Amino acid sequence: MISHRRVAVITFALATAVVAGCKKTPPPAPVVPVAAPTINQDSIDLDRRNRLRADSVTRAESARRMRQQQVDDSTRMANEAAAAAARDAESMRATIGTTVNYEFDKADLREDTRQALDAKIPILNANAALTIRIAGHTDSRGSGEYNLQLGQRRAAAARDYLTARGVAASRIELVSYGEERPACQAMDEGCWSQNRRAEFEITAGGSPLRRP
Amino acid sequence: MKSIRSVVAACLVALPAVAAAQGEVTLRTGLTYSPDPLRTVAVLPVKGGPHADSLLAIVHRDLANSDRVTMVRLNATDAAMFYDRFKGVSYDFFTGMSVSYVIEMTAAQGRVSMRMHDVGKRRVASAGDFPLSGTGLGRDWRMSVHVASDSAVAVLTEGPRGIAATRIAYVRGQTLRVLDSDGANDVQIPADSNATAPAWDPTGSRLVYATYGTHGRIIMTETGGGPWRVLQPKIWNTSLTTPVFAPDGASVLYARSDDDSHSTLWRIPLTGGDPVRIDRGRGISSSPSFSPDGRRIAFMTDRLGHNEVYIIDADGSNPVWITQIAGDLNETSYRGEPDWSSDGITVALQSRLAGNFQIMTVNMRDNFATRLTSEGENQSPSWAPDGRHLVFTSNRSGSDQLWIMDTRSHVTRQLTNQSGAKYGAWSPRLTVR
Repeated sequence: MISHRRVAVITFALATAVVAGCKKTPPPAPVVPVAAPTINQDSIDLDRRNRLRADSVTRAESARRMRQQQVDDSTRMANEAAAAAARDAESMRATIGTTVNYEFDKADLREDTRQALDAKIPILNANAALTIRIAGHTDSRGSGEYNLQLGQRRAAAARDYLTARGVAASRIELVSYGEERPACQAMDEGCWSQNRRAEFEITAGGSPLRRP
Repeated sequence: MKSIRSVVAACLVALPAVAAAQGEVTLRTGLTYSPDPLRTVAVLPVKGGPHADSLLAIVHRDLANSDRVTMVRLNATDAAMFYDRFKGVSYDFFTGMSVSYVIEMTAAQGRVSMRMHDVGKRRVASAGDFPLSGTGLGRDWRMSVHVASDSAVAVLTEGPRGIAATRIAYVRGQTLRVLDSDGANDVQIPADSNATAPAWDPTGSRLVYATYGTHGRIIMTETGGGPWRVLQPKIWNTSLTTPVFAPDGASVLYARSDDDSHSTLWRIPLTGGDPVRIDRGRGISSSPSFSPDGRRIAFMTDRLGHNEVYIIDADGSNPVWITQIAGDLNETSYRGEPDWSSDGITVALQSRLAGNFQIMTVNMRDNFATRLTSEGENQSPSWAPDGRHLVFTSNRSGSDQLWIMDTRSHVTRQLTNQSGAKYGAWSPRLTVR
């Protein structure tokens, strides 16, 4: 790189040679030297350092934002997974807890009852520690004394369906409430049909629940 | 109060056609012919004290509730006419009122003396002193007065004592309760939660009952309070229901579910010892009731596919179907909750007729069945110790209440008025200590 000074000297030398080459020309006008531009190296260096610093701050900032984004993303994914798992467990608990109903004076399992029981089986199979209680109930018609045993028979019918399909009997507790715990009080078939039921309750091993 | 009754001659209508097959029961309708008119009785204002007015009111009501006499209510303003000028009872006055018997009572502290005057014979037919226990107007005191009334009924009818000195156990909501047969002193008995189907021991001092739910068991308790005794503890996955004492008071019979969801009758001795299964029938057996000699047991069973009442020997043998009622059998038959009267003659039960339950009796001598109720739903009969009155649950007033009926006259009165009363059980005759 030719320095500015040398350029200035060469220019001056060339200018003098041109002037000397001319014969008996009038004397050249006096050459006023052009001031050479001042090189402020400190300023150059400072500017460069500032730019470098700005670059690295920008890079650091960018990296930090990226890391934060990753943390946010994985937190969000974990939360979503937990929420999904909670909804799953809630849904499984609801399936276990679904009540089934019966016809008057009978403990036979209707088709809708079989389906509700079928839905419970995979959850029971996937959660070996899960134990349940089946509570049999009746409507308020008929003999209250007989209904205490009819409630037992209804709970047992649901239990037998599950044990015939592989659920261990020791995991299922049976109780009867007869007509003594009605779900509703009205004296009509709409209420009576609700009261003829078996209710299901988790007694242990329900948390956490694994998907089948 | 009842009006003066006249003789009721009724028609006995037996259902036609069938010469009754072995074990078949014929349904009888109409009232029983009652040849003797009820005697008319008046109770004089009680002399002496304390509690003279209450004594009069209690005795008057006890005699009316016996349904075996007709009561005349005397006007206190006529008192001057009740006695003649010699200060004796004026038989002329009461003859004019068509009163047959007059009861004259004198109260003193801790006792009442009673003289029963036979108006027609113009003399005292009977006299007695009766101790009154406990504090005046208290629970024991009232029961003592009832004892006096019951003696009066025996004299007035020349027949068995009355049943005023009795109580009725029952369940209301979550509470086990006992009340006097005139409706007074409705008290809660300390009991385990979820109590059902109480039954009295032969002395009237203890109750046995069953609890349902996760801690279902058979429990015995003194009616006067004190610790319970668990006769049959909780059995895993088993329902224990409807316990009753044997007539000798030495064991309790109850229903226990089997693992395959049927239930059979078991018996456990009170002296300790293992329970024994005594009935091997199919289906659900429940609600046993002993004959008074303890040799046979009436109970309900659905072994035929629907509920009927059977009788077996006390060892479980010789099952007999006693509700095989000619002309009244169909798929909607539902008969149960039998109770055997203490004179051995009649088994009361509930039977579904035209869609509603009614109280029915089967006479064990002549094999006739009689329908006793027709209004509302009527269930769970329990005999009084006179084999004539029974208490049952009826919803005819709009909610389940206990009602009392005289099965001879069909006179019926409401006993409870707090809703939800069920599982009524009438005590034996009680003594007041």
